[in-house]
Amino acid sequence: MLIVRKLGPLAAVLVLVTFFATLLLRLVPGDPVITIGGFDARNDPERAAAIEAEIGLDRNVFGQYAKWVGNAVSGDLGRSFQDGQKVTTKIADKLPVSLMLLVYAQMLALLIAVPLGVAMAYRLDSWIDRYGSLALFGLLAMPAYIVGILLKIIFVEWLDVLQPLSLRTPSLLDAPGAHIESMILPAFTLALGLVPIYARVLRTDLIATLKEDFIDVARAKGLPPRRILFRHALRPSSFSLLTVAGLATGNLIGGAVVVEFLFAVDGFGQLLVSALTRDDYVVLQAGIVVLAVGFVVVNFCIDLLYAAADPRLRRHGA
Amino acid sequence: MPEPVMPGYGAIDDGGDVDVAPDPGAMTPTRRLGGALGLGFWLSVGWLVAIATAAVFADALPFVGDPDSPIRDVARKSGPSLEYPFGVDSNKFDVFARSIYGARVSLMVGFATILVGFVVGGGLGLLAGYFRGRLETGLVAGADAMLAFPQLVAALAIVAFLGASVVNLILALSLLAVPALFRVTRAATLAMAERDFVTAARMVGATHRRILWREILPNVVPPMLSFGLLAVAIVIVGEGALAFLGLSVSAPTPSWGALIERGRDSLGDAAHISLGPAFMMFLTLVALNHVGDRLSRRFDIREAAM
Repeated sequence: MLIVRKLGPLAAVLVLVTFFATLLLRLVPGDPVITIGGFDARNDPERAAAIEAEIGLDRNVFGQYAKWVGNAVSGDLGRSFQDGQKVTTKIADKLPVSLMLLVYAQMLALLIAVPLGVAMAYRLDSWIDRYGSLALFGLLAMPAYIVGILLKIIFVEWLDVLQPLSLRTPSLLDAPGAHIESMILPAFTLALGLVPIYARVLRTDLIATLKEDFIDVARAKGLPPRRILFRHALRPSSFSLLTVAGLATGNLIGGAVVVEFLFAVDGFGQLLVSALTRDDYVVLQAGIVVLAVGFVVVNFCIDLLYAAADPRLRRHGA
Repeated sequence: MPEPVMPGYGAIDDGGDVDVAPDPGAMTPTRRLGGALGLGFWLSVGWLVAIATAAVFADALPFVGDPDSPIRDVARKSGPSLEYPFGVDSNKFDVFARSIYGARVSLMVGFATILVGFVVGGGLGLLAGYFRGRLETGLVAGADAMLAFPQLVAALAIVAFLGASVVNLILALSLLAVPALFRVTRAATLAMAERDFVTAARMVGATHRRILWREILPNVVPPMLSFGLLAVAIVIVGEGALAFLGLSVSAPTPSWGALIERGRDSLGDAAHISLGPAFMMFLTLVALNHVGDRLSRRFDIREAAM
């Protein structure tokens, strides 16, 4: 079974990732107790010992890790030393907004990239292919912070159609209009980073598929081009797209942190950035674990999806 | 069978095998070996040379002003003019001069990181691809584990916990570069080690060291270089993201990412503060991508993701 065979490496990577993250607290410059607990933490030996015990510094590295895993399994990722709030509460509060942002970005990216890639492959070397390739090449050289700044200048400052700044991002259920208004620019920014990757991969694969015999058969049967493209050619051409979409999740997670910071989206990335600026290392460490584990798990699922889409992989494996 | 683009899965196509069915893409003129590299290629090379020279010799160049002292006779945030092509920011600093000095950090971190990738990743890739065996299995597993890690998050973690310095930045971003260059080099070495001239060298009794240095290395350097240029672009983007979040070096002059961030509050009345460094960064990334793209087509490398 593919799932069983892939579970081993998945577990190994998860252990490595979490181990690295627990080590981070030891890497803090200077005395961790002072950096984490405040400048007067050492003056009170009891408090210092409590801090050391809480983050596991009273044990060796492996003991610290074992303790961390034990707590994490029971749903405890520690408490912020800045405001005493439980880290899990903070994360649960912010994560939904960010997850929605990622989903919107992926949907927008596919909505733009699939028709574009199909049109470019179908009309090879036409104006849409040539200018499309040029535009995609340009977009590839624009990181999220440049795209975001440009979109903000155009839509917020010049056209004055969107006001994405709000302290708390409105939820989809309570205020759908305001929710979309505050999410559309960040989602679009992230999507534009994915579009060149997706469209180029799809175009390459589709060009190859369109040369296959079964496409000629479909044409000879007199099927309309739209049906041939979307019903016959798209599915066998979408494997690489799927792989790339999985790999791009890593970029997307990194990009989401930047985009949330830029557009003041009240999400997980913002939590991470504010933990950064306030030296809230416990929150930072937990946030990094969540990001890393999320990334690893998403890629694991993409691997399984890949096998579902391509029956040949089910037995031989990639 | 058409060649699917499989990022991350072996990047090199051994162009020397005759019995392999020709890649359909190989027929287009741009992929013909020895074909002209084109005007865009030389323009890109020109820009890269110009920006690198300007960044290195910024102190001596007459048209690059002082980035760290306010200009007296100009209004705050005033827009582009002949004298100050990118305008001035809210501290009356010359945005053009700052963008040139900002290129120093961005380019230095970008190229130094790839240098680390070349030495560590490339060296191990060469050994793994040549000696094979258990060494290779172990190293490949290690590289896979590193690639399974969200690298930008790891880089963010390292810089956040160790503090932002040029050395820490290069160290953190090397996490991106080392496994990727390891893969590319290993794949290229695997292909080369099978070729007749290597067998011939072994027949006449050449030592491993001589075969690696004199026979294989010269042949794997071109694909490494062209991939390395694409990787420099990725690292510069990564450094920019960290700088944008305030996690990069700020002294003496911040890098492009931080310069773009500085203009964030003035997008309405003085967009040039962000757009100046953004424009320079964009041109540099386009140039790196284009040169890397052209060279990898020439050396017949398929897209490999980092």
